Amino acid sequence: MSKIKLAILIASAAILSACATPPASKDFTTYIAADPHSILIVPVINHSAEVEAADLFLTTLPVPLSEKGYYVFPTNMVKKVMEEDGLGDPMLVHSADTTRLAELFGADSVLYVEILEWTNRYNVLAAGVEVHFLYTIKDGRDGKLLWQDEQQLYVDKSQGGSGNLLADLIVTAVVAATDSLSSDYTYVANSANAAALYAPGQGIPAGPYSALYQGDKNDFPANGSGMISDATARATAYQEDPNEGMADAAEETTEAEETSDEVEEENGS
Amino acid sequence: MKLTNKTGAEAMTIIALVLITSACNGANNMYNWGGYSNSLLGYYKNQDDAQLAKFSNTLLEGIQKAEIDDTVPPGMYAEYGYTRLELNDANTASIYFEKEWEKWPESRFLMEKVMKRLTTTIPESTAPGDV
Repeated sequence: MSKIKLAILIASAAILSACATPPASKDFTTYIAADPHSILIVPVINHSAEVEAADLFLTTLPVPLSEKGYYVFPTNMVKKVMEEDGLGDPMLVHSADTTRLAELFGADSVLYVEILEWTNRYNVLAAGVEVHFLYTIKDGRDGKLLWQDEQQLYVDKSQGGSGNLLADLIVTAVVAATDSLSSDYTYVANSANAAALYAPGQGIPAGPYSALYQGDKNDFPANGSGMISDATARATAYQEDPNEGMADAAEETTEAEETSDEVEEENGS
Repeated sequence: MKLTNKTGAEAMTIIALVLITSACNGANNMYNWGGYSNSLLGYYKNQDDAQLAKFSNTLLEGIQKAEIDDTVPPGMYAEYGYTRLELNDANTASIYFEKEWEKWPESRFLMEKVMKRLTTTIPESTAPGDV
């Protein structure tokens, strides 16, 4: 077997086995301790030029979260109540104090979603859409970051799939039986949601209404790594370092500080 | 995706993935959604009274179907109740807000709060008050 062929094989095996052996599992210690039973979905921030994307995205969130076993607050009612209470602007809601927001609704946790990119791409052979989403769940009682996930997908609309095999398989399982897919865009959002919420080691553990509740600790371990997020972007709702509890990151900081101390000493002498 | 020209190892990986993926999902759908997402999207695309009424009807039909095998999703009674409120039917609204908190205790705080608003709004507008 040629080296190239071997490399392709290893690469595809790595991609395909993403579910079995994810790159590194997130740390669910904080999440499991918080044990949220209910999730408040707040309006989506849309950084893209696709005007309808925020509302569209909002409509795709209740199903996968409820099917995961959580009480999900009535999405449209929450949106309307927020608008009545002067909280109609997503930027304002995402920037507001999480505990005070959760108090208004009696919610255990709050889900913030941001659309970082939603761009149509066309070429001779295919039409597709490139998307980048950021999901953040915070504890409604103390405002702690519980979980964060980033999804970047290119969905080939001419093929009808996200190109992410895992996402395609899960989205089919989660959504197909319930709501038919109304448009390509709904499919994009559903694919991203499925990959974000359901992938072992990366998504969220099953909630109290699921048969898997507290029985999925192998897939969503409290491994103490301190890695709560895989995101490269910072959320409006959480601007600190999401992985500040990580052991490696802490060591790096110490080293950096030592180095800068040495530099200062050298400069001083 | 193409399934041709796969090596044995790749084929095995795919089979393994499918098995693992079914474990990922775990259970089948717990709830009967009755076209909720699509209907809500239709309403958001065109937020007028006709679409609101249509959304409201879809919710009620979905609830009635789901009640048969006890698969009404979280939030559904409240969503329907709120559309009734927007359509100026506060009585039906309060019945469904109550149904929501009876089925889902997590919603009790919000449902009670919204119902208090309803009951305090009505006397304010009708009671003589300062007269």
